[in-house]
Amino acid sequence: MGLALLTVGGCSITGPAASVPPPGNMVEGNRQSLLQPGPLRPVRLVRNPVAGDAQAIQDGKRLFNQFNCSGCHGAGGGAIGPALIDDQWIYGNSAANIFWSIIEGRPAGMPAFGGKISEDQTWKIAAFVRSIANLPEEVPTGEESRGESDVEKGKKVFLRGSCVMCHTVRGTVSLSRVGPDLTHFASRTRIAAGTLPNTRGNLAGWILNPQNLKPGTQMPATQLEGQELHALLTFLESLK
Amino acid sequence: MRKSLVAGLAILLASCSPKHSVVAGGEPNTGKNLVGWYGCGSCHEISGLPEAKGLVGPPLRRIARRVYITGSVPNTPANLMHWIREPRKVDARTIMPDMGISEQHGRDIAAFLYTLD
Ligand code: HEC
Repeated sequence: MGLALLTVGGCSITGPAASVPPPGNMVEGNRQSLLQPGPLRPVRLVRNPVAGDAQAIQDGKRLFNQFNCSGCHGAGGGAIGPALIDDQWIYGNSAANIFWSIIEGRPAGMPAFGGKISEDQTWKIAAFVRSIANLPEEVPTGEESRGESDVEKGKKVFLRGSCVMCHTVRGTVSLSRVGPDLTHFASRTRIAAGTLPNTRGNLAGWILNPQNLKPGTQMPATQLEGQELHALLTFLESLK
Repeated sequence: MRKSLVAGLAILLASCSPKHSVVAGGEPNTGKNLVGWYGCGSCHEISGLPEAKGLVGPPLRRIARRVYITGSVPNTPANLMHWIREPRKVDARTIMPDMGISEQHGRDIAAFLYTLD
């Protein structure tokens, strides 16, 4: 119903979407308010849990039409909205980047689907979009391109994951103002609003489980593998 | 140095007749401060340190009585020190980070961990 009425930048969201009750977990977008209607979702994934699942990609295709993504993006070639099958990605093409573009919306007319679509449905659409764009399946960042330095790998972990949704690192696509600016992160002596010394151990514990260290913080926990965490820490420590 | 060794030994003996001897050259009180500085408590609950309330890894308590540590290696001072200093060398997939801990700091921290109730 809300969907049927929602019109943004000439891109009207109509069609069967309104009659599809979204099953599963609802997803929250960037939080502009500290008021909390329910518990925070504890963990953010950085990889698509349905990546490489052919059935999920089929479902994603159906959902792409049901939510009328096709209304603006056509069959992927673009129309009112940009093409999804070329190699131009303003907001990144990792599954997590696409996930967040869907949930948060983008300023030039892409509506925010947060609250209208389930997490599961969003990952399926992201998997479908990556499939039509012919993007290879994502592997944990540390496992590919072994020649890369930890700083480079860590930067990828940062830019592909959900960090970009809240933080700025000047000189990258990560320019959100919701959380603290991390451009000179390594020059800070304390983290977590001044509660902890800026050491590797604290930083790691903070990234993996911030709610436990500072109950009520808006920073969500992130699920990472050891090598991804290691690279991410090294990247953050390079931000002098 | 010898004095601190004796002190460490005394603490250890007083605590719970441990299976393992004190870490040679390790100073438990220094280790306690270092644990706070490196931030072990952001991932571990540590007995006797209320500010160490992390729940990423297992709680650290009664380490001196453990038979194995990290679920994989026998509990010896050398193994404990190696784990503290280079966990990713012991287990390439672990989430516990290498924290750039020096040899001496590793000794001090290990000595402290062996005093935990
Ligand atoms: C990012 C989180 C993190 C930080 C920071 C961290 N650890 Fe750990 N630690 C873990 C995890 C996870 C395990 C379990 C790994 C395993 O058993 O393979 C662990 C295991 C251990 C163990 C073995 C425990 C057992 O029950 O056998 C010890 C001892 C230990 N850590 C000490 C430390 C010390 C000392 C520090 C600080 C210098 C520290 N850790 C910092 C996550 C962390």
